[in-house]
Amino acid sequence: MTAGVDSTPVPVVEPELDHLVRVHLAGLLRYATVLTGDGHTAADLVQEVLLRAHVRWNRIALMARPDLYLRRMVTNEHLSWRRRWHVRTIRPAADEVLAAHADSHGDHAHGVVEEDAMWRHLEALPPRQRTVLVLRYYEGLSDAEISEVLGTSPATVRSHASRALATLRDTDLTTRTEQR
Amino acid sequence: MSTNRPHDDELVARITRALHSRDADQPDPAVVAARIQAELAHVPDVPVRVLARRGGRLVAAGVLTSTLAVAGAGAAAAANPYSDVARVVEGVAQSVGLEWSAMPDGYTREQYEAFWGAGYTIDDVEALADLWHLDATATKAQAGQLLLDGQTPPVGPGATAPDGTGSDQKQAAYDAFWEAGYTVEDLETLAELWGTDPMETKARAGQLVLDGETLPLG
Repeated sequence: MTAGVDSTPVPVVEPELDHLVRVHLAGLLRYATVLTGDGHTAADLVQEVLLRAHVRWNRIALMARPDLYLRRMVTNEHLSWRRRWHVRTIRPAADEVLAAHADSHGDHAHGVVEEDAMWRHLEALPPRQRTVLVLRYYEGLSDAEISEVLGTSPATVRSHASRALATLRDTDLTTRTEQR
Repeated sequence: MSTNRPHDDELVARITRALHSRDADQPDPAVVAARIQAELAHVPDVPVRVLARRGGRLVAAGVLTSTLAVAGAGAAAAANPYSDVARVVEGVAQSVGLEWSAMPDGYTREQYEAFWGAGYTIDDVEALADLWHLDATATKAQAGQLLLDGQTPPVGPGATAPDGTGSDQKQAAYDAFWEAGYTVEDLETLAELWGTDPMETKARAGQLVLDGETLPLG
């Protein structure tokens, strides 16, 4: 479930940047992509965050969990910039294309359609509730770790998660296209 | 993490699958790393939109991915690898019928080339953004347009020292705001009250927190 740290080789300019990029970039990009639902937005978010983190890396590196702090920076940028980022979602394949795909590929396509439906429900959640679900079910963080990322208490994290699950439980049952 | 009711297991499994289905859309780390290096080296950057999708969207994604792979491999050595990539990607997108540009809304390639071509740095962007109360993209667009119009932006190319002091103060204010337990909803309330943008609101509110003041929230 957890998205691990990637070791994709990248070009190197400076030691600090090299360390940031080598250890954290791929994981942050995956997290930001799932958080925002858009690869381009994720690239811009992570780029901004790592440029700022690079300047302050000596301090950040001394923290117990720099990885959580970087996720906090990405999360805060996402939550506070969300309204200002003009992301044009690209949907070259309309629903009918997916439907045609479903006709020819059976169960796999059904899974894709179901994942898309669930994704739309996730997108409709309040931003902090969705963020908690991403951190919990994609990043595999504990509620204590999530509270560190969000700068809130574990009780608030549980509350966000509980409300999000309740919404999805209700919504999903009413919109599910078919049973397995 | 294991506080779900038993019948939530399938729901959680579906949530997890849906989230993981999106991580295929992530951009190439090598390309983003090179963009960061380009920013630090004050070399122009062009956002590269990622078209990777599943199902019927794979035609465009495949072409794009191979383009990016080539660009990523040569990115470290190239002075400005992104403009060419972006132009190719735009061409690919248009060839498959997408109305799409690599440039963000309100920021043209001409403005971008004028701005970075004049020798501005990322620190200059921040200085101009603070001065104009704009975000980074709008700042680069406005400065680029001034240059295209033959005018001079109020901060000269390379005029801002990259000491990071101001950034640290601002970041301390941001941290104080979140650590005090305020939420994004509080931020929006304050932004409306003060008529400020989110970043300025967060900095101002965080500074008040650091100063021991109470924020004007109900």
